Amino acid sequence: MEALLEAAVRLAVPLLLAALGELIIERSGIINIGTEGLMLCGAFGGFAIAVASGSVWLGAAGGGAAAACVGVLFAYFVVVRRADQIVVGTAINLLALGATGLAVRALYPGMAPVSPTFGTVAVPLLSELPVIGGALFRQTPYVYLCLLITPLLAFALARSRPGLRLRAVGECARAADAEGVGVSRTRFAAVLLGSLLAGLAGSALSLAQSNTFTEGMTAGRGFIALTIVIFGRWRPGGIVLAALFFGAASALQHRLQARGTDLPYQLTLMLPYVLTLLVLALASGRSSAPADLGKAYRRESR
Amino acid sequence: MSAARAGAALPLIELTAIDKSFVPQRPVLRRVDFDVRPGEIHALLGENGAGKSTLMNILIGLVRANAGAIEISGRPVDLARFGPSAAARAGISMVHQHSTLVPAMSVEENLCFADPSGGLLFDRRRAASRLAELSQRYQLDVPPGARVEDLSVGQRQRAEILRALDRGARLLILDEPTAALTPGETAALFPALRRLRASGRGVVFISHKLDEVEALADRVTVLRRGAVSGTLAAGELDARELGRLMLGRDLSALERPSASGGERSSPLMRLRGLSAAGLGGGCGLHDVDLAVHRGEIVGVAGIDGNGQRELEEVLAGVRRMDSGSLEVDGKPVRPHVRTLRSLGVSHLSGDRERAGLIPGFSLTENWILKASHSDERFFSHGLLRAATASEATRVAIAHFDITPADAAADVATLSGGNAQKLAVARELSGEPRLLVAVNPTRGLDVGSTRFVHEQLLALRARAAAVLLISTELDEVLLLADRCVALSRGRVHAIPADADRAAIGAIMLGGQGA
Repeated sequence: MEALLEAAVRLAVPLLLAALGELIIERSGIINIGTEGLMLCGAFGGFAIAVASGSVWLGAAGGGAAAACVGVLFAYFVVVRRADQIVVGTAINLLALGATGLAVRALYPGMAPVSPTFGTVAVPLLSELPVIGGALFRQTPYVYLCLLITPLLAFALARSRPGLRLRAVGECARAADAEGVGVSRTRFAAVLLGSLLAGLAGSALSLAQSNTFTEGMTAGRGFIALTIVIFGRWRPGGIVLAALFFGAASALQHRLQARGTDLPYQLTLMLPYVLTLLVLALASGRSSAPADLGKAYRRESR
Repeated sequence: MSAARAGAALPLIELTAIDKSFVPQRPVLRRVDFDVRPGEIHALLGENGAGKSTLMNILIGLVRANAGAIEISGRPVDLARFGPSAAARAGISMVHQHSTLVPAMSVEENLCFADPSGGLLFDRRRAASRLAELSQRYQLDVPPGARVEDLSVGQRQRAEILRALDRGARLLILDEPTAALTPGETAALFPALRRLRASGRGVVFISHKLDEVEALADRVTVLRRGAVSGTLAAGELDARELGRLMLGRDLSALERPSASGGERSSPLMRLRGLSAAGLGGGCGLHDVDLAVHRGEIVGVAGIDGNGQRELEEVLAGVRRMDSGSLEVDGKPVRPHVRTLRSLGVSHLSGDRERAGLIPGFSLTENWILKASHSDERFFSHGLLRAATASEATRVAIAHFDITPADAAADVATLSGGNAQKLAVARELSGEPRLLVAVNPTRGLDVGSTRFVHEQLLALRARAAAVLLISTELDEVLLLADRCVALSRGRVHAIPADADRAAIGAIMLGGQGA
């Protein structure tokens, strides 16, 4: 049981980081379906820099930075040029898949090398707690990052002025603009910050959950992160629960595979994705999305 | 003190020779002069499309003028740099017709998010106490802590005025503030505006309603087709003169042709004990009895959100009745869109942007929209007869004087008045026996309103029945032969001799005076 919980948390972390990033972006009124691509860039960037520098920490930072750079591209088209958000998001996904695939083959002919990885760090005393000790406090630094930024983000959204402005822009861009809140500036910043988190999430895949980069290694996790935002009803607390739910589903799936049930492994592999569909079907209809989500804002249009 | 007095003589804002066009060669504003002094209520009159909104959007920095000059308290402003934040710093604030508060937030949060004073965190409690203090001082009542989306139209408007005052507004622009208010709410708003004037602030009051302008304004500026057609002081106000400045012609009194063959014995349509669920937490309908006879206009007055939408939807056949019955010609009918239409019941939607017309469709496509099931004129074997359809649309365009006179134009490019003309023309084209008209002149200017009113009266004269559901009390009183009020989903009779105050009481409480 404890092992399952520990695995659930471990597998939930990339999903949670990416979903929190997406939350920031969506709360500003931008729908970014390019999360998958941003994660992939983060995974590759983190891996390549960790291999080159020998430092996982530099790698993680590089992963975040790589995705943030792609985020600037996304923000330029979507916020500045006001292009269709779905089209640009799709383009980012395709671009990231192609570019990282090309780069890994060009840089490492033959086979991608093994990169340094994050080990688990036990927090003294807390890691000895029953049941949750191992799951929360004998983990990689990514888990501690989540423990830190989730409450911080929840507080910032509810109580800080930048958080209030972010919500205002996403709920009613016109109202925010009329009150002197810079809509483009706020959205640009939100995309940048959200991309950074998506990149960190990607680097968690290549630097903590495995020790190398393989083409398309995100395997749809970016899209699951989108689902998590919806399932978590655009609230940090809800998103944590939704991410744990999907983390648990993945952990269960691994467990079933290892046990060797009669089920073909392809079926158990489908579990997280089937759950995604089910959740989307059930969660739709409840509207708590930001009211201006997906709408480009033009000041002089009526 | 003397400096303050010298400053008071200068206009808060002065616009000189403002030009603006969104599309080259199609000016929206032409050499417009406009100024507001401290302690003044300056009314701005004009038809739809006269340029009022654009002028105000320039004032608050949302739209940039192409040419002209702006001075704030005597200091010239760089046109290129005059954006919303510059306007806000100058103390210019607008209360829009459609609330610009963020609906998902509380009023207090709405006060906080652009508060220039604070640091990284915002203080909900301090905002709440500021709100309470202002609402006390100007007697503008807003329930504390409520989310904006739960407030009534009037409460939202008061919240918006309070927010502007909280920002330190010196010039307040109100865009048709009484359009959605009850007579009582309107009566309460005027003293608050006078208190603002007394405090030395400037108020711009945009309206269609001449009597309100006469009651309130110190000066009136009239816009027609993007140019100022006159500025009058309070002493010179006269409804006829204002109407002439606005329209460019005299507006004669509305004629009421008498109805032919108005048999009162058997109603054309009768609702008995109708109850229906409310939408989105609305009040729904409870035990509604209502009858409409041939050659009669029955007016349903009431404040928005008291069951109008539900009643409209039941009569359009898109909302289920929970109990009760609908009879047409004395026979019970299951309300369904096609059944009702085949019985000659026509529906002029109160929500023409969302239910009446489809923006993005051409005039022709909208014209034949409701005919698409069975009408042999426009369809043969399920295929569109394009030439016939556009010919029919062109006839309507000519008959109803719709601009642009182009059957292939996108409906989204039509002004509100022309879009409504198209909708009215379409509903009347089938010679309905009963027309359910919901807020048929909402947002229309004087000329277009007159046109719609004349059409409704003409329909009545042709012995058809009209059920007029309108939140505009004046309209109901002007047109209806008989009035009822909707209040919290129940229908209450309005006595023929009731005065406005009594009707207001019925609309609010449902009890007769």
